[in-house]
Amino acid sequence: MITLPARPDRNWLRSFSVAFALGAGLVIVALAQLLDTRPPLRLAVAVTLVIAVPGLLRPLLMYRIYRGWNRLARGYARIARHLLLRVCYYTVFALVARAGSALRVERPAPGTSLWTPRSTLPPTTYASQDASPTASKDGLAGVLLWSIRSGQLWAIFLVPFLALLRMLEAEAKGGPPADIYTLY
Amino acid sequence: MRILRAILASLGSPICWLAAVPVLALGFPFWGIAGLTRIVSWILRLGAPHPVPWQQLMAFEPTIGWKPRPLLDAYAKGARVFHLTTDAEGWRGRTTIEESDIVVFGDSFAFGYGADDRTWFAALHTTLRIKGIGANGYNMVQELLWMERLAPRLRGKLVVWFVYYGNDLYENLQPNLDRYRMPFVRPIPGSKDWEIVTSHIRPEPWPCPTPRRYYPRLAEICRPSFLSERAFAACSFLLARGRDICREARAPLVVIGIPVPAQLEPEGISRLAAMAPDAAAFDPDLPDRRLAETCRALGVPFVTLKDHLTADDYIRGDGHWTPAGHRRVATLLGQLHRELVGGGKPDRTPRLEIATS
Repeated sequence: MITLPARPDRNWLRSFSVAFALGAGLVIVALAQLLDTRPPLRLAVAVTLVIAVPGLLRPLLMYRIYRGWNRLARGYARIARHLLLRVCYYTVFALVARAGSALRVERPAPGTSLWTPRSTLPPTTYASQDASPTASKDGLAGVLLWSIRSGQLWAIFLVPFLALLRMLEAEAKGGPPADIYTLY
Repeated sequence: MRILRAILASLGSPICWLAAVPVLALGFPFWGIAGLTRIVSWILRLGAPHPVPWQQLMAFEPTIGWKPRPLLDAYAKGARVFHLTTDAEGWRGRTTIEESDIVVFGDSFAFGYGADDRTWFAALHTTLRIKGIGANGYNMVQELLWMERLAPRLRGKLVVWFVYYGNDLYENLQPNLDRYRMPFVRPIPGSKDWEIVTSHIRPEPWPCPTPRRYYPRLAEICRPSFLSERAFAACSFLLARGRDICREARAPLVVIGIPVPAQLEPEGISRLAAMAPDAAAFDPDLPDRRLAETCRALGVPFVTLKDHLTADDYIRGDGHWTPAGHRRVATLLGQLHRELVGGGKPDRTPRLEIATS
């Protein structure tokens, strides 16, 4: 996941302040390298400490920075996901489409229907039929298995992209904390 | 054709990766910080106490729905990991109801969600013993049912009823909390009276768990609407029943209104108003006013925490009280006990604004 939890606890805020401080220190060193000056290690260490120590002692001080950073990360993830999907579509799918379609549509015999009966979905799908356990539990392994079983080997090449898209998914915002109403 | 497709996909895939690399490289700072934060978080958690899953802390309770398990001494996960103990009946803290001076009925606020045993409001008073009767997610119906059951043990104690505007007003009307079945109230057809429904309470999951959208519901309740009228009518019915129970038990009752943090700051009020179907009619003080009116009519003292807490007394992103918030609530309970029951040492704190008849 490229984004951090939308509802951080103190531990997350502390960890973020350390990571952010190290990142800031590294940026100073990298900038100095780029500008061909001697890496100002003391300055880098000082900046790292100035950010990390208050964040470790008073993690709530980091909340606004955390939230701002996470917002930026979500924005980047949204754009990256969009671009990745487009690139994937115009390269892999466009090329595979050149092989033609295997879909053969038969006309139904007179008086018959191609509608297929469906049974009622389980109550767990009440909120979202797409989020039914059968639809999501297999994940990437399910795509892999399906492509092997069905002989659609080309779909195997999609799996790394699907994995990448999953890593770019942002954590859902809003709603009460996930576990406060897990009761028994 | 299948082989041809696989060959074409194998050709397209590297091109795709080449095109994707710059996009992914741009996100390097985000990948770096996210990864590093997770590693540091994992290291920091190594020495920390391990929280017990909530499923092991709560248990199904016939008629009422659920209840904390008895004799717990565990760490639980809230906004942070916190230490909690429960007595032989499952209520937070080791003080028994008989030993206590104040008995607080409520939801996760009365349970002290997110606060350690040392820092929750019931443990902070030096002279008074306070007992919290509550659990995460309780609505006022569940709290009233406990009040009814425990009534013989309340005599002479100050009974405090926490009413949280975030979900209590709405969920008094709901048969379920997510997948858990919950007692609720409904109007009796052809009558102006209400009834408590518990016949559906079973451990089996509720077949149609509904998404919890409290802020939009609260926004709707904070303006004249059908839901608002219904929510306040149900609340009045429950408060009247509570008043009768406490009167019979000879225990003075006081109602405390707990606003959501958004009701305490202009930015939050604007956010709530934007969720209301009619922003112009939105009134963040409506729950306080309606509850005060009801309590006045019933002859029950009412205090709103809006006069005692600020948004900073709530944990951001969680909505429960900070240690400072717990301290303020403990102080308030002490003042209420002094004003309504008497006794204890006199102090210099100003008299409370209590709405009474």
